[in-house]
Amino acid sequence: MEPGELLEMLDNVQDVVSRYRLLPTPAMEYVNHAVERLLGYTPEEIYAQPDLLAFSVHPEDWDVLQPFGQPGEAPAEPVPVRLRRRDGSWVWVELWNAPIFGEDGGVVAVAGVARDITERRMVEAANRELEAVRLRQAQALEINDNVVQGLVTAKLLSELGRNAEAIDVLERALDGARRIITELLEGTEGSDEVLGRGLRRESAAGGAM
Amino acid sequence: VTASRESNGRFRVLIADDVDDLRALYRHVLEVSGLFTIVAEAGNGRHAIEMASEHQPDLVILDLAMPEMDGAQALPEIIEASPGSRVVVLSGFAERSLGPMVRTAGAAAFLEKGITPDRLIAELARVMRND
Repeated sequence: MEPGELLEMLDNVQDVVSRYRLLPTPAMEYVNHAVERLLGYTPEEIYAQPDLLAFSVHPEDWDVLQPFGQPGEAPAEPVPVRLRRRDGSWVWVELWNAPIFGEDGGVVAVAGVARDITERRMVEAANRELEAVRLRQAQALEINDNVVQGLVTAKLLSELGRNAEAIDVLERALDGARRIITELLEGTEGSDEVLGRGLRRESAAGGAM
Repeated sequence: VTASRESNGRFRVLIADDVDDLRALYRHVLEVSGLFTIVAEAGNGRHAIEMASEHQPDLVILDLAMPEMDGAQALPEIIEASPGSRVVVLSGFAERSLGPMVRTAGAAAFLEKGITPDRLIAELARVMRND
């Protein structure tokens, strides 16, 4: 394949493909036209401002960009990062950067591929929200089954004058409530920290005599 | 009073609730009132549909949170299986959370568990009078 044919092919792929030279002086050597669709900048604008792509990475996402390995090592896995578009909006991409090594073993350039994963991230976020809703529903059912039903039964027994039975049921409901609280706290991220702070309330508990 | 009654003048009732103690207490409260007689009980939604189809009760008292098939799932099938029944949902959940949904699905009323026995009887009687 001729180099011209290769570049033509790269300009027709959906992903942004780039090659950033580090030595002897940093410069964007190549970026395909997909960048205009993804970020709103033409390749010519990026050639004129070589750091534009690097500075478009969201500051909170810098940590996920791994340092390059050594020659012969397997390339790093692609990482999800947010890039700022020309219009100021953010787009999620899966970024894959591969070092290109010089004869002395040093990194002389970086080949990059960026794939738009905004839609996938939206689906993932929707699934997380759905999972959270399911968890809240399960917790509501646990409380209903183990506490509310017991309280209802005890109240009804008491209203019918069957107080000894009501107290038995209340004790079972209390055990159920304690178990649920324990499970909820044990299943909470950072529960040790919460317990360590003594479970300080935001407001006074209601109902206690 | 618009709903039918059996020969002793009582409304025939199916109670669907997965808590055995509560079913027994509701049975007691309803029977002592002199207005209702329990013709069947069910511990889950699927069994409630079967019992409704078999007994064609005047009134179905339906819990929502039940194993196997919950009350909300069972509600439309109970109405289909026993079109002459009035269904009252009696739930541990708050009326404001689920009341509109179950009424839209065909329930005649939504009552929160914890209601006093007198009030329960009064509300069920009101439903059967079709007030």
